Parts: sequence; C-alpha cells; structure tokens
Amino acid sequence: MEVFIERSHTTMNLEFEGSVRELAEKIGVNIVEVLSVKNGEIVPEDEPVNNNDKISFLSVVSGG
Amino acid sequence: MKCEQCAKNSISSQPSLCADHFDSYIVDKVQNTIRTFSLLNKTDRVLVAASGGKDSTAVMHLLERLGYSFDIVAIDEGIKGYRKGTLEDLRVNAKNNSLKILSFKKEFDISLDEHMKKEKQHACRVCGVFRRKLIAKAANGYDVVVTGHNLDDEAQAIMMNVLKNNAALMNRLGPKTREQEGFTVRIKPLYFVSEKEVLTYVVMHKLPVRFVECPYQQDSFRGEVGRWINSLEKSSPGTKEKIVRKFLRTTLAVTEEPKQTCSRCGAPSARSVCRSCTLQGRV
Ligand SMILES: [Zn+2]
Repeated sequence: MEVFIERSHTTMNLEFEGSVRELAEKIGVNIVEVLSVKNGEIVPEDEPVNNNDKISFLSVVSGG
Repeated sequence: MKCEQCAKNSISSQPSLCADHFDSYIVDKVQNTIRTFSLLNKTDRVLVAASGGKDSTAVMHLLERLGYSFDIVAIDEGIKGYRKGTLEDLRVNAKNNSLKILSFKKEFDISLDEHMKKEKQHACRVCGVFRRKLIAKAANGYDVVVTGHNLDDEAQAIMMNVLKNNAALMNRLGPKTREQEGFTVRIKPLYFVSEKEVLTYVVMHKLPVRFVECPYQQDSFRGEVGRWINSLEKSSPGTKEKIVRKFLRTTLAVTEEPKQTCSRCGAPSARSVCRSCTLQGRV
C-alpha cells in the first residue's frame, strides 16, 4: 500500500490490512489531525484498507 | 460504514455521515451558531478577515450559501514563501466580493520577516498585535468582522488562557467579542466546527486551498497546546467541544471589558500605549 502524509511531505510503501485509524496509529499519526483519503475519496476513521489501496493523510492543522 | 441518516457510505466519523448529510450538518451547525448567539443580521455591513487558508475560505463559502453578502480584508505579514500562495487562492475564492489587502510593510514600514531578524521576538505575538490593529482599521464603517476561528482555535485559546491568565486573551474568547469599547464586533461562525470538519468541507466542495504552514508556527506555544488537546481528543472524543461548552457556561459569564484608548494612536487599548505602538517603538 502507498501512504502519503501531507504534513511531512513523505510517501511510504508498506504492507497493511485494517482500518484507517489503525493505519494512522501504526505510522505515528494522530487520526484527529488528519483527513483520510482512500483512492481519491474521503473516508471515515473505521474504513477498512488493504494493500491495494492508496491512502493520503491530509493535514487538518495549518496556519492562518 | 453507513451514513446515520441514509444508506450511502459515510465520509465522516462522529457523526458518521455521507457527503450530502455531512454538508447539511455543517450548514445547520453554522446557522444555529449564528442564530443562538445573534451573530449576524442580513442588513449588517459585514467584513470577512480572510487569509486564503481553509478556515476563512470555508466561512466565506458558508456565508454566501446562507445569503449574507460581505467584503473581504486580508493581511500580508511579509512572510517569505508562505503568504503569497494563500493570497493567490484568496483572489480566486473572493470572486466578486470586494477584496482589500493590507501589508505590514506598507502600514508599519516593516515586514514580519524583517522584524524577526531585528528583534528576535516571539513571531506569533508580534504578528497577532499588528494583524489585529490592521483589521480594526479596515473594520471602520462595518457592523461586524467575521473570522474563520474554529472549535480547535477556541479550545486552544481557552486552555492557553487557563495557563497564562491573560486578560487581553480573555476578551477575544467567545463566539462574539468586542475587545474594547469602540472596536467593531468580531464573530466566529465556525465556533463549533472542528478543524477536521472544516477541512472535510473544503475538500468535499473542492475549494482551492493549499496546505502551507507558517514557518514561525513550529516554535509557538499554541502549536504545543494544540497537539496536547488533540491527543486528549483522540483518547476521549468530544474533549474539544466540552472545553468550549463548559467555558461558555462558566467563565465567559463573569468577564468585564476594560475601557481605554492608546495615548499615541487613539486606538482602543487595554494599556495607555497599545501593543502595536509599543512594538513600533513609538514610546
Ligand atoms: Zn446520508
């Protein structure tokens, strides 16, 4: 699975199956501080994700 | 996960709603806030203090949908690599509304970057003082100034105030504030909308907003308080809203407004010389 973290401008590839919330936990991102996008669609925190998915964590926290 | 109100897939958690129902949930929330706290009348002359960021973009989009007309003011602090892009977005989002941009450089003869090189003072404090002064100036002739402050901003400000006990900060809390006699009323229609909800709204409506962080933000006390509140919110969802609702019920009921004007520039101020004039060395 490809995971993009907007705040740190990083993309990582990893093996994962579970919910978006669990994925965030695993990579050390506070789910409260991100909006989760799966294959281009906004998804809720308990959305299931697997290795074929492309996930983006958009940063909710920004200045101004 | 299904929407609480229909059979479609949800896009949000707590509450779990589909795109359409999430949209009406936000519109209703903002409309209720405006009504409950008597924030706006359709006849008010309204000025939105905007940055081009997600909060002010969302508040303008919502006000327009609710049938309010407004002018816009934006502040260019003079922060290299940060403000230029958001002001470009703002020009797009402003559409046909009148937009005025005031800069620190032009108004105070010093940009924030230059100030930071010279003084090494806390950036957010200096910026806040200058920005408020310019917005107050631009607000002349308007009944109300709208800001994009959201639930997270307010929860942070309340906790910062608990830690600092600062009277000036206190006067800026609440959905409708008037720092001093003589200042235009400032309102926060997104008062109960969390930062995550604001971004969801902006992304859902495909509003042009880019992700940028102020280069001075990292060292801010506010950022630290924000991260702390968000870790509480993660372990006990609803914490932010509780902080704000409890504050409204208790503390806000007992504050008083100081009444004084700056002896240098005549602007309303809690001190004999306002922070802005002090920072500019006019003392
Ligand atoms: Zn629905």
